[in-house]
Amino acid sequence: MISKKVILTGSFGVGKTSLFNKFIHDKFSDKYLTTIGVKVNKKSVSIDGQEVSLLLWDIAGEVSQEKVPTSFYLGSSAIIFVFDLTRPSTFNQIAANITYLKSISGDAVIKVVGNKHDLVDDDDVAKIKETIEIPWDILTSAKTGANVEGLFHGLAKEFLK
Amino acid sequence: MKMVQHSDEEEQLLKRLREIILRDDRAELNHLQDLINDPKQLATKVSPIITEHIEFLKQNFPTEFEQAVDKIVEQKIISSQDQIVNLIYPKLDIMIKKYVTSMFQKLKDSIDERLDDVKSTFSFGGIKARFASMFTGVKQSDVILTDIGAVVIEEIFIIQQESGLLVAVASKSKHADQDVIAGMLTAIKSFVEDAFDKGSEDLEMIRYENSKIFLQNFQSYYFAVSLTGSLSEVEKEKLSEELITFAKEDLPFNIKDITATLFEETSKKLDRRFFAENHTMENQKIES
Repeated sequence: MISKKVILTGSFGVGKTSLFNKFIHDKFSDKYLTTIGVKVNKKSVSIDGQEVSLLLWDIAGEVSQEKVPTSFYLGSSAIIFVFDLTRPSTFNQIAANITYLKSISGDAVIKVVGNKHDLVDDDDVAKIKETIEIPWDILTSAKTGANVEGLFHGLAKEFLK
Repeated sequence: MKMVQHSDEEEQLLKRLREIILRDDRAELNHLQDLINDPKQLATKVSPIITEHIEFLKQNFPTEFEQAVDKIVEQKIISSQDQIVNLIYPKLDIMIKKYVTSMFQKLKDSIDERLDDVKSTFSFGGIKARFASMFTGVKQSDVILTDIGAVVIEEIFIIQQESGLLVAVASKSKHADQDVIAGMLTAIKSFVEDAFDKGSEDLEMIRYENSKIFLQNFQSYYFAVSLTGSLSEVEKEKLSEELITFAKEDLPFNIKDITATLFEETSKKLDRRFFAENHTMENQKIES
């Protein structure tokens, strides 16, 4: 079994904690409770018979990633940058945020995730795709659970490569 | 009594007479009725009196009502003794525990000082203690005293510095969320060290009630030792020395990858060294 630290980051209210809770506990709540500081939890996933233990750090949302304590990112194997498909303000500065994350995270894998996919239709998604500075890796919905397992299993697979 | 009969003329005169005599009183009465029936007017008149009275009460409440209030409180206390005890007891319990622990800490620090003094061959304390021991046959009573409130190691974690991943763990009783504890401890440690911008300085201790977590930092990992009881400065040094020895003998200098083998072997070594022989810091101290 291998253990890896995975960071969930992004602006406030984009659904980081919802993704975290959906993946860890398979639960979703419409209630918005802001995360204070950081919340840590663990889940193991099995990839072709090999166990990968993911230690997830759900970091309190900040509009600018530079406001997050740098030490939180240290030693991470992956950073999941989450944005809200319904709020352009959460992906308007995406290029600057990703550049910053790359500069502080060494060789960590960075995944760009558009959440709340259940709240937008295909036309909206197409429009966002035209305007967004950096293409996303996956679109998820913490509410319906769409692609949540896929996101973390995909990461675990990359760790085993 | 004989009723006096008046003529109509007399009645009219009497009526007029009454009107003349009572005119002023009736006017006054009407004015008062208007005043009472109009809330605004009444408030204007009454408010200053009430305000004045409240002010008077504020200033003179103890003297005016002290006896009455005392009596009510006394009766309430007598009739609700059980409820009051139930309310106060948990807080008292914590306060007493804290006080006793703090007193033990002071006592143990002073005993440690005395023991250091006794160990010094040419000090007055050392000579005095040896004479006392020779004549009484009693071994250093200080050692017995230090048994009280012994420090007990509950759990030891070895955690990778930056990632917060668990390298190894040993404990008196198995906990389910040791990985999460390791992660959260690292998050707290990182936050405190960042927040106070102490550069190369590290967080050394986290305290909660009568328990504490002692942190010993190394290059790529750190130890987090969960303890109960009071930890004197001497014991802290002993624990630190023991952790350094363990790191030197049983851990690589730089832990990059945490494999299952590393986790299992190091956890076993930790368990053997700190728990297999019912290890306490007091034992260490006596042995030394």
